[in-house]
Amino acid sequence: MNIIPKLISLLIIMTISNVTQANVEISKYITKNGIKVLYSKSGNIPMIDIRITFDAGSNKDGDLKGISMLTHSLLDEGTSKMDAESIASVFESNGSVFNTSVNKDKSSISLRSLTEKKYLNPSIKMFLSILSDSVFPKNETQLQKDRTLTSIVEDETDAAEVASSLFFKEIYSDYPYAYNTIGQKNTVKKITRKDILNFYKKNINIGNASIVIVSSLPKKEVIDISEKISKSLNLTAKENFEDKVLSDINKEKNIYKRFSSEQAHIYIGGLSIERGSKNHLPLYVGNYIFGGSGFSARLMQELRVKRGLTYGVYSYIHPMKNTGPFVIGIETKSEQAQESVKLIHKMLREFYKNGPTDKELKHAKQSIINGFPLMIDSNSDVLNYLSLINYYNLPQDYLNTFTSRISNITKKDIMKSFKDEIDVNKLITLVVGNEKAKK
Amino acid sequence: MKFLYKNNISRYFFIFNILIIFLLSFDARAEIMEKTLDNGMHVILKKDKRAPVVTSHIWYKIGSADEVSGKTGLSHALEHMMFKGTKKNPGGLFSEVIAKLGGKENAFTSKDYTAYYQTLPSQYLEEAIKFESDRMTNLVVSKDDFLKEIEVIKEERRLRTDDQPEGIAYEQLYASAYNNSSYHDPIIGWMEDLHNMTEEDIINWYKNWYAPNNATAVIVGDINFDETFKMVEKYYGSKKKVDIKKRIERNEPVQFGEKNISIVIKDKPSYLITGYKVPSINTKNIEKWECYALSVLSGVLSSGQNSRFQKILIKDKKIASYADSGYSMFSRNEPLFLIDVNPMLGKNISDIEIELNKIINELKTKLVSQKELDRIKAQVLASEIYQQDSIDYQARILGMAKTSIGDTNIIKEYTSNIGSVTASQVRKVAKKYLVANLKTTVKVNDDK
Repeated sequence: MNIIPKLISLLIIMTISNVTQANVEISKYITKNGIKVLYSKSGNIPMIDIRITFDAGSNKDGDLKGISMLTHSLLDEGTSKMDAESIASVFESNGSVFNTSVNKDKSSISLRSLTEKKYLNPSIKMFLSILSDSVFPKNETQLQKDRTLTSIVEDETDAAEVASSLFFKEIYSDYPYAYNTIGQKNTVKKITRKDILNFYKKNINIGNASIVIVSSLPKKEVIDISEKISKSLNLTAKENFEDKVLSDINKEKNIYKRFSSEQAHIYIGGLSIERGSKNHLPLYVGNYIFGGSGFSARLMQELRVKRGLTYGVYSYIHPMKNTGPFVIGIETKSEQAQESVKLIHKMLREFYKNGPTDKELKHAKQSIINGFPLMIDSNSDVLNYLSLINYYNLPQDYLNTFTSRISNITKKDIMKSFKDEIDVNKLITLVVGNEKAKK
Repeated sequence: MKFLYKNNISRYFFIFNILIIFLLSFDARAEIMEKTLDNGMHVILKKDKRAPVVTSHIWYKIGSADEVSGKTGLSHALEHMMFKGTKKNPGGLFSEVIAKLGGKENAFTSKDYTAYYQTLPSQYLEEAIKFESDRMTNLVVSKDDFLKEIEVIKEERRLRTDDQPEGIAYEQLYASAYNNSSYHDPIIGWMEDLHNMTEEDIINWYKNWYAPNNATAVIVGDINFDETFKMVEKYYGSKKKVDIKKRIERNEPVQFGEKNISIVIKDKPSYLITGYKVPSINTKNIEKWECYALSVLSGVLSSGQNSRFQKILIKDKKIASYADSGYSMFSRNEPLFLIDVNPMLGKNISDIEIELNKIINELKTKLVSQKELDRIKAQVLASEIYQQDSIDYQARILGMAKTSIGDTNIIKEYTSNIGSVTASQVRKVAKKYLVANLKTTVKVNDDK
């Protein structure tokens, strides 16, 4: 949905990954050919959610930026036996939903279906042949490239999109995280059907996969489905992937880009942590207080409630496989851009100096701990958790120990983790807006 | 909306409608209890014991459709001011308490209604009801708070409409299609009216419309009926019935021909949005099946990979990168049946219009296939199951049906009513409603 800025959707991912609950029972199973499956039995709704996650996000694009996204969007456009229309017919006439998604680290392929056999069996069969036998027909490939190019050009006319692209480019320089998953005009144009087939074989395979399932089905059937999936995946072994080196930001930078829009879109931030960092939870709680908890956060209280400067302001820390970003975002009418920037910097320095108040810390912990049940009250939520735990190899007891770990966090932990992980003297500040947004 | 990106632009509208189609079909097995308090407040309770969680909604029958020229945006502005506190619970105390309890809260305003909700661990339900009932009658609107909040609302308008070509087109479509119907004005209000709005306007609006007899409470989750009903009665039961002003009827006069609006927005992509005036389930003197047939018609056009828009506009002709349609029968007044298209890079709006006309004409002359009908019906049936995955959607659908239509039975019957739509009914509504005299189109950056 193009009206929700990319940065906001990242925020949502982060929040989900950090919260747990008391009563989701997670079971583990390893398929005969070695794929790790996490599954959970849901209540009595006769439905199943299956998600296969691949280590094949846009960081695997190489020079062909956008190829992961393009490959995934074409998966259901044809197999050696069926064309796009027949594939869609199978899913639609059985009421099932096929989906793919790609982010900077990983990709996923999902199926939601009813559990009644007459709907489930044909849906699974179709799902399996997409996994092993996608052929990426020539016409559909060209069409999808054209649609992607159209989106890229549209994004260039949108201030929020322009700002977020530029911001990540500044933070990540030429590391793959610098680039949008959708790709770039010149690279998408270059991608051929052969490139896509290559990417598919190299990445959508056993060596790269993990599976999560949430359903009302008994264990035996879940295991049966897992085995079917793992058998149908291509056998290609995992390739050694040579990651680029991610270099630190070496100095503070203020950037202004002119763009004709009423509002200025502002991003302030830098590098933070990778997934699994011991500082993750202190940073999470600290950020929750500073800008990550919506209305109760300092940023929202100061800039929206007290001053009426904006409709929305937030901050987030997004741990990724490699070092993820720390981001503050706000949009405000251009005349108020510089005032907002100054204010945010001042608030950030104050936060580094004095940390959260005791009351704020207590409130944040209560809120996070009490909120557990809400974060897992749907199959979709549980699926997201399992997927993160499985993909990032988080400890099996990650959820069970979560509340106690949150409750142990001190003000000192928070202040130290911010100082250690996010260099407040080397932040990027980006303002995209009309002339009035410039100093 | 207080702080989420709920948008009044077309893309969001469509998504919302699709969700409605997918989620409206109701699980008949689920237990529902409905009762009206002596003061006229309606209460709907639904059990869902999957998780120890509850969502508590309150819906007011007041939206932008009740506003008049020069005072647009009042309902939405009042929604924002509802978060500013009461004498007993000043400032953001309500929000603070909900956050502490681990809850989520928000609010949304439409043309037809304004709604508030809290979703939280079920043992804290009473806290949510206590605070919510307090602000039904005791809101404090200070000048100082208002002057700041109206600036927030203007920023919201800039974000969603003024800087978004599709937002502008959507707003222009309604303003052009309707001469007299109050659907003419945007929910968020015209910027000029926002500049003129005062805190007194807000206070008057609040006094006129916020009362138990203009409200419906909807509570879905891990609850016990008797206990929960008593809780609602305890906090709302003593509130006095208020004489609700008679709503001004703004009926839409006859349209004399097709309306075409061409707008230019510098440096932005081209875009087309069309609306046909169609009935809602509230419309008098129509057969109700017409609404269900229009829903199926929308599904034929745009639902799924094998829909006509997808197959013709996107795949065969390769002239659109995105194409959608949307129709919601659950509106108080006659809504628009919407079609919107983003042209493929380098393609012309005029080419799209030609193809769109062919697609519409075919619907008027040929019957849709059984396969197409079966596809729509299968999707609706599956959604009957999937929608149970979210207590919030369950509450939303009940609140919307009661507030806009006055009856929740409509939801129970939805799936079977969709199921009985025939191909000839689809053709009939196409012939009757997809016609020039009901049609308005807004084109952004038309190349001609």
